[in-house]
Amino acid sequence: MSKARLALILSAPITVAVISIALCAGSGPVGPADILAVIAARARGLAPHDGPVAGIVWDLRLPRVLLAWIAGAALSVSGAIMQSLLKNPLASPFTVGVSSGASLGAGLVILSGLSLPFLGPLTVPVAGFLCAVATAWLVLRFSRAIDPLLEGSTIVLVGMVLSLFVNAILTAVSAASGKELARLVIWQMGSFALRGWKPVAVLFPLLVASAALAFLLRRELDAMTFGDEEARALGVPTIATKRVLVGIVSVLTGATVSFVGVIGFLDLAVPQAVRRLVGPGHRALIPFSAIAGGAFMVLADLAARVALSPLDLPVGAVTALVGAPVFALIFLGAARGRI
Amino acid sequence: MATVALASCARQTSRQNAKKDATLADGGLRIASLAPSSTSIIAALGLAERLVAVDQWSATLPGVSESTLRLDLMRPDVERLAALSPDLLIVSPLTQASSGVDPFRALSDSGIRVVSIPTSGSLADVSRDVRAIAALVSRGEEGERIVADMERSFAEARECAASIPPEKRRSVYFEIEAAPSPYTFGKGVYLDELLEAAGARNVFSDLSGWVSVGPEAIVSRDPDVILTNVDYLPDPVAEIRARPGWSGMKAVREGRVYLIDPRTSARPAPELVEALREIERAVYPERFDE
Repeated sequence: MSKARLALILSAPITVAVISIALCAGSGPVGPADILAVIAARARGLAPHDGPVAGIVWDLRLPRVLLAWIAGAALSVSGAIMQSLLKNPLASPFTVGVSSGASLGAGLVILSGLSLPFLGPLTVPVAGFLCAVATAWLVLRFSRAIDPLLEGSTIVLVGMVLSLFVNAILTAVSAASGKELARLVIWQMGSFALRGWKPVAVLFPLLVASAALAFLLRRELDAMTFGDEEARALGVPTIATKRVLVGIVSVLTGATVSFVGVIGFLDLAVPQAVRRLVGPGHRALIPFSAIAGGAFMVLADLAARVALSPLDLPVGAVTALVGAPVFALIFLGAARGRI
Repeated sequence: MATVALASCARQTSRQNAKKDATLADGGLRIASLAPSSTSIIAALGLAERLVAVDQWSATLPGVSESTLRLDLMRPDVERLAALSPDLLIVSPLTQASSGVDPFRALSDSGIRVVSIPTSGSLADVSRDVRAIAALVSRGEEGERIVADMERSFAEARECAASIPPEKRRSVYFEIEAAPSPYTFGKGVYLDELLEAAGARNVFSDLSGWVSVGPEAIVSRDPDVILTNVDYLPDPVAEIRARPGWSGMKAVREGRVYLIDPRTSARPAPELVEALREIERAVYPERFDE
């Protein structure tokens, strides 16, 4: 049996197991029976309101676990696409300025205290999302102006420069602000706590649509891994494909980051590890990046919640803290040919 | 003696004096303070008009003139401080920790008296700070009076709370930073001592120091009352009440979520007496109705 086929068969039960473990663990006195009871009641359209248990299960734990899975899947699929597209193992959605754009948009709203009447508390994520996509679009425009062939190295360079520029705007603006700065710093530290169901409802369809689109473009992605010239010789419209894919990635990660904040490491490491496990073909790389990224983020957030319970650790620190040794083992194993 | 004795009166007088800018003509001590709690103590000692420079968090304290030079707590403009040449510069470890080296070395070398006051953890530390700063500015007597007032207020509150039967004691969750990463405190923090003095029970008294706690832990400990002194949101009480999963909590259902003024509760300084009164009224409103 091929590695990819074995991984495919194992991935469904592993995903279910990881989500179930994460649902059952936590600092509150809530067991598997409580969880099933609350979910069953909700499924029948009832809203049980006896004390904090129902709130813990339905409003805190379930959306938190699902949001972690969705964000993990979104960030690692986006990472996989960007690494192939730019032919750069260090590339990620953040290379095209998505996180600095989102930070600037959210930051300007937070620092100015702006709240649009029809958006309310959604003003911050909406502004973050728009600025993230706008920054990525600017990166593409500038890259195209400099280099009509839109080579990966040009996009990386322009992305870095524009990210630094956008960060500098935010730093300059925030230097003049007082107590709102605390809100901005907290916003920038990624977290899945107390987000509710809204981000889950917005991000899940977006993740499915983006991953499906990228999966449809898997042959183009495969061809472009060999080089743009080879891909063009095979009839792939490289420039149009790059623009579409950068568009997909910036919409998906822009939305994710705007809701949960910036969480690093995963977008870089998970697709690399998946590449070593199932090979570079995008037919396997895209779905497995999503599955592995989702599971990894759920476990990282679980560790953040329960390792020092009742304390909550920043999940962004846990991803790198727990992830780096795990990925070091995968890479070492791959290098020695054991995997 | 020209200055008045009571802390509350001292605040009033200094607020009046702050309007006049010519107060330094008498050749008195010129003080710079880069620590909000120390600035508070200086104001309580009736010396607010002697401040020539403060950090941005001190600038909004009652008694501090708007025309006083504002400096950044983390990265103070040392050149401007040197140009002002104050007689006394009070700093905190916050400024030093951010840069790794003593940023005030040049000032102390040039003869300015630089004193670092460690950030206080407990109410006893606040008394210690008041005495230390009072001694630095030769107001030992006022310092003793402020300490005596503070300790009397705390003792009175404890005495009053002692009459609350154990089964009627309310549990409290006190938030100093809002969602998504709520921060609170356990033992060893002056706010925990204030809760205790008010006859309340901190739901996180099993922890110590300032801590970031999981929302699930807060919800499952289901406090009777929720207090917040978050100052960076337009309406921190509404934000708490609207949190997903919190509507089933006792405090939210019964409408016992209150804001405690951050200006009195966020600094380990003499105004904690006022924060204590606010906490008492928020936790046991029925005892203070008459």
